[in-house]
Amino acid sequence: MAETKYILLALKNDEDTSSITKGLKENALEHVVTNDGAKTMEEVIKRAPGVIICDVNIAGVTADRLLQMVKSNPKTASVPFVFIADKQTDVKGYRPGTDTILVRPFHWGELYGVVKQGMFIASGADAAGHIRGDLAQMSLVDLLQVLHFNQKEGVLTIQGDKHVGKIYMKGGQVFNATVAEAEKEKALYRFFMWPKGAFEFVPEPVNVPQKIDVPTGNLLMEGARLFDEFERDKDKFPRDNSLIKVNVDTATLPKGLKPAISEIIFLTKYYSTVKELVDHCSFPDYDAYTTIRNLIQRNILSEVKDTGGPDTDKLSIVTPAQAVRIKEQVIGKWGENLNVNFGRVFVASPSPALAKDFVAACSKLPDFRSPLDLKGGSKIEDFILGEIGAIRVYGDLDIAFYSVPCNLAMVPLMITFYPNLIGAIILMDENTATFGDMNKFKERIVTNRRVPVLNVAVANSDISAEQTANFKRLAAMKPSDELNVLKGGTDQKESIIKVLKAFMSHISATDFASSGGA
Amino acid sequence: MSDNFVDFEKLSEAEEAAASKPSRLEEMTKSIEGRIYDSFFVNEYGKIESVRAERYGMSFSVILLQVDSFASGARKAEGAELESFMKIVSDIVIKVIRNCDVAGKLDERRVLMVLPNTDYFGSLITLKKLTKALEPYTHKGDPHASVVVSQSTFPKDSVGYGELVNMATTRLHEIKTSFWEQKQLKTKLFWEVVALLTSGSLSGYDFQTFDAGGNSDFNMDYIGRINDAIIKEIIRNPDRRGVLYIGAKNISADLPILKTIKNMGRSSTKVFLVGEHVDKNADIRNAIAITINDPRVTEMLFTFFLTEHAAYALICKESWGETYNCFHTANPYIVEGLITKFQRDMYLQEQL
Repeated sequence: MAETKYILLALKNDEDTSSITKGLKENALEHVVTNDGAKTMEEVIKRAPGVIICDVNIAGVTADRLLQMVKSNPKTASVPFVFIADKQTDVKGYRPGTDTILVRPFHWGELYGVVKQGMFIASGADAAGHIRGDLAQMSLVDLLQVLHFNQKEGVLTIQGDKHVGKIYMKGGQVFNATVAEAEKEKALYRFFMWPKGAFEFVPEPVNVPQKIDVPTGNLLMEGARLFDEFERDKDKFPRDNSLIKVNVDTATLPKGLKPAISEIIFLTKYYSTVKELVDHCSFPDYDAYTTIRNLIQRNILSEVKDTGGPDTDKLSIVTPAQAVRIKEQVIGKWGENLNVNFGRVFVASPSPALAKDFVAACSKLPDFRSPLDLKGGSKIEDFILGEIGAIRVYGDLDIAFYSVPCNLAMVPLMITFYPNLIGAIILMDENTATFGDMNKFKERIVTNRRVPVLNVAVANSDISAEQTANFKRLAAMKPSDELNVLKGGTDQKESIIKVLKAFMSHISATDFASSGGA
Repeated sequence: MSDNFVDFEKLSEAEEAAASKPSRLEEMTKSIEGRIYDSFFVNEYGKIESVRAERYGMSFSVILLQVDSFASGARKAEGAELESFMKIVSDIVIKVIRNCDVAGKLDERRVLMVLPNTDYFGSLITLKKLTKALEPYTHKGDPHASVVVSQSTFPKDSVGYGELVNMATTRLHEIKTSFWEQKQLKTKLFWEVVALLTSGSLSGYDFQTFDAGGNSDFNMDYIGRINDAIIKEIIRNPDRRGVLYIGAKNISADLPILKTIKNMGRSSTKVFLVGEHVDKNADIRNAIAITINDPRVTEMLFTFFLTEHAAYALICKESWGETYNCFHTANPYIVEGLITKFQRDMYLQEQL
């Protein structure tokens, strides 16, 4: 589904770059030049190219990996590669008919022919049976009707402004729909709200379980109704970024409330903004907004406009290039196939209270989810072992935080959870007495798994230079190393962002990213 | 009979004789033990299999068998004795492997098997069959041979055939030096192994003993949390094949782990709950309850978890004053060995 047609040039040789650039300019072909694998991936994520011309020996990321990464992203899966090599070579994952390998020396005319062919493939003109277009030209209702009447089977991918969604069809019936974290009818009805977006229908056998059993005709009617009503009422709904406050003791509310009301009230325990509540509510977005509005009108909830914090959409712990390197690391170490959807980070602490503080700080981040209840539903012991939360960083990749006790007797258990491990965070505070165990624990992880380990001091406020030096000495850190501090109170959010950014930059550092397997 | 006539009787006899005689090709590729090929053939076959597996995105495994010594290590395996024992080994290998598998002698003491389209668990099953078939020659009597068998699987362990054989060779060494072999645990019964593992103080790279309950660092709630974490690991990776045994003394309706297992959903990992008694009111879903009528089951808690990517075994044997002596390990050979012994000694289905 390539709407933009530019050529991405990733060559290590400046001479090649200048000669190919000259040819592309003469033929008025838009192009972008990068000189290493990570930058190339960053460009690919920013805007899908029509063709990628890539040196097989590109710096940073190997050509095999680059191809894997591009193929694994649904947005760029169909982008053809032209690999430039010094001799006949194999590229793992090479797609005959789509990708091309050119061996130096090559004639410009030859490369131009291949690029032209690649751009043609990217435009979708040759794909047998594929239907491509834009929702601005053909509405989703019309499109689904066509697929329904023709009893089509396949996957309809829709690329919106922020998300990519999928609708699975079998025998003309909608089997399931997914977008971001939503699925089933909720996801399907959300597509109806998208005014524009490129779509592509690929006929292929659908093996997903049927999660929507409403006839397609009824779905279309309901989708159209929700769209109309949403357009009519959208100005009356609370703003997405508004904070929601519960004004009553929820335990005093009567039993037998409408399911949507019960669910929204339940979700307020875990989520604070309107957008989060709507996203996590299982009812269609329109119903969720309406329910929140009605509860505000009845004074059960209240809207605190202007969250005052940074725009959640702009708040990102991981840059696209880092996300790519992290995914590459997970795949490289643990993925014999590409079905790897999470990277594990150990959060080792001498006390579960520190792990709880860590989760409390992370819960301030927009993309963080935790299976534990910080408002009293979970006991402190629940933070001793197991998954304490996850952040979604790129596509379908989660970074899952996994609490483990900093106790050497538990090392065999820790080894069991090594799969998908990409790093560890060791928490310590002024009450920590087991620095010896902690340092041995750190050593085991670094030597066995070759993943980065970050020491983080947990403190209520700023720590003095003397305390910093003391922590560094006890944690066997170099004096020149920066000590990351997780603060409480109003600085909590800012400090967790700083800690996680430092950690992610360690994980995505080239020396670790290229450290290879077991 | 004139020379101008063809004697069809003699001709058919000659044809039969020719047919019964091995062809040149067969002579070249087969060694004297029958369907055991030479190292050249099996290596070439392995290389082709690795290319095929990579092309079609399938898995395949290799199994490496090595004869080390006789008479419990008293006699070096060599000469005529080794040669005649290798004939027995070859016969067993031929009987155990499938028709599609290829076996070849790498050298005078090593046999390599290439198992097409076989994943980690598939290779473990063949390995178990092989070990069991060799038991009469390895566990007692004469020659009481020391035979070590290891495996490696594409693409989990490596992507090239050579690396795969190297990995199997490395594992062979690891198995030989593991405390499972050193302490001859493979020749002991399940309950003997349990007693041995929980009675002393053991510590190594991937195994450790510790105390639980009482005033120790780990209470019994923590042991429950380990099981909970393992079930959640299965939920995280529902497509990974595996096996999990949880021994919980008696399976009562209020057993905390039942709630987590109930919410587990579809999974490729088989979960078994083991106890001396199963409460009729217990709502057991997504798991199979196994009743073992042995009072020793009520004296210990255990967890055996094995997948292609992770292995874990925890045994907590009740001591006095509600304390437990525990042993746990992440070593796949020990975990697999414990599961095999448990299945065999409790007369359970030998499955992975």
